[in-house]
Amino acid sequence: MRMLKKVIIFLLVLVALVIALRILNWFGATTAIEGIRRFNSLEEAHHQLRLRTLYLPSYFPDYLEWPPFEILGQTTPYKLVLLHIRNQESKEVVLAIRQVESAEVKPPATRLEPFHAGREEAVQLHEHTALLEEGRCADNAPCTRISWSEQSHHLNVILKDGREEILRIASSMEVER
Amino acid sequence: MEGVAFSFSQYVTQTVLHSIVILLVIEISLNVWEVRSPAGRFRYRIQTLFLPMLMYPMFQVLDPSRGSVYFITDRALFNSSTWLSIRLWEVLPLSILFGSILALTAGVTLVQEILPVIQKMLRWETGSPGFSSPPPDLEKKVEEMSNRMGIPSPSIRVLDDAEPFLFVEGTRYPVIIVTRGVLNDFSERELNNALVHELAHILRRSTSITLLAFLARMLMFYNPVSLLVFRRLIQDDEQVCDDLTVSVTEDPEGLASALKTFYFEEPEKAQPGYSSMIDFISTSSHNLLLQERISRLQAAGRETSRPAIGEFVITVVSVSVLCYFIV
Repeated sequence: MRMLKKVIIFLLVLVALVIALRILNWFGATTAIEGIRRFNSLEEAHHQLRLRTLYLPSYFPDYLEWPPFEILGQTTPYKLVLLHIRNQESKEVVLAIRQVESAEVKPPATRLEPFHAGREEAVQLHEHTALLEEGRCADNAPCTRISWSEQSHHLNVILKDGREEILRIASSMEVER
Repeated sequence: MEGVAFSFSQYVTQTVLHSIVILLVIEISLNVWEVRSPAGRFRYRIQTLFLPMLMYPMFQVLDPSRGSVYFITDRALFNSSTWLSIRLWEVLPLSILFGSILALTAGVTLVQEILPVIQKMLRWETGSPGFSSPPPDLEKKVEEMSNRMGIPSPSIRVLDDAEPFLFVEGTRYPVIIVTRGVLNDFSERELNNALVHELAHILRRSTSITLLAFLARMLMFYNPVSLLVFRRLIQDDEQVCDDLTVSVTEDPEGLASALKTFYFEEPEKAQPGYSSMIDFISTSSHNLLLQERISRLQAAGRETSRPAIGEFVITVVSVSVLCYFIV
């Protein structure tokens, strides 16, 4: 009985420590200006990251769920927005859109990466040349990736689908102001 | 190379953070599990020195994605990188402050622990201190005491120094070094207790344990927690040997009396100047630690039982799991 009491006290202390760490982490995340953060909506990300431009597709295959399941972003050391969009039925992340405002960095991987590229092809997207790659995502499922630069932005779109759908999505990407 | 540097900075940050959490959990555990014996406390506290050093590589091998954005956003309890990027008064990044504390600790380690070792080695190279043969009765006494404690009788050497001190040197073939000051100043009763205390260090293999702890401490030369814990461990080790001594001599007062001769003369107050201040602090802390041991010997009912292994395992497993989520 005495031992049980000691174990309960010890567990309570651990729970208190976990709560304290969570609070400290939350405080750090709200106070820090650097580092990646999660946002509840695109509007919140747009406002808090003080984005001048945010590229979003106007075309979506029917099976995708909107709004994005996850919106991550940061302002420093460089501006980054990372969207993950799920399949409506399977709730699996099937589309990742990454927008980075610097060419000199290695941005964080999306949830679909590492992407193992197979066939590569240069395609024309608006007035820009893009690199279209067919390959496999992290879970070895067939994937396509398209990457291009527009003004000072570097964009990557990864989709668990074929080249037709990713080209449609990428072609429909417009600046959301 | 950049990747290696990044991992090294993560290693340094995480070892310090993990040390803080382990120290906190271990000290709480000692109270919750009611671990009163110095041997038990030593066993718990030494984890604060070894666990942080091993955790980061172990965690990275178990889960290479542990440092990824998704681990940080989905699973981490605490992310150090966000805190280190916070700017105090919008100017001074906490990373600079954190780095300064680590640099200061590294400086203290260098001045207080590494330089004295180098100086000692150089002194021994330029001319070994004057040793003389021990009096035959001293050798006989050590032999008798060793037999009572069930250990091989160690060699004994007398150092021609008027300051009273004695210690054990060597791990495989330990040697007790006694100064002429001890032989001149100590009463028969005090000398017996002091010698049994040194034999207790040999019985417990303190030199090997302390050497391992010292190496861990040196590898984490930047870690302020290791600095504090190492000193606490030395104190725990001394208390374990005090208990062993009393169990053999049954004379705690004799040992307490011997310890009193090791008091340093304290200046009435700290003099201005850096080195005087350091001397004042080190003298005061030496005397405080000595006083703690003397008071413990003089108090009745010292706890000497060994702690339960189950509680120890619960503590180590809990703290390891907790640290996994601190990045």
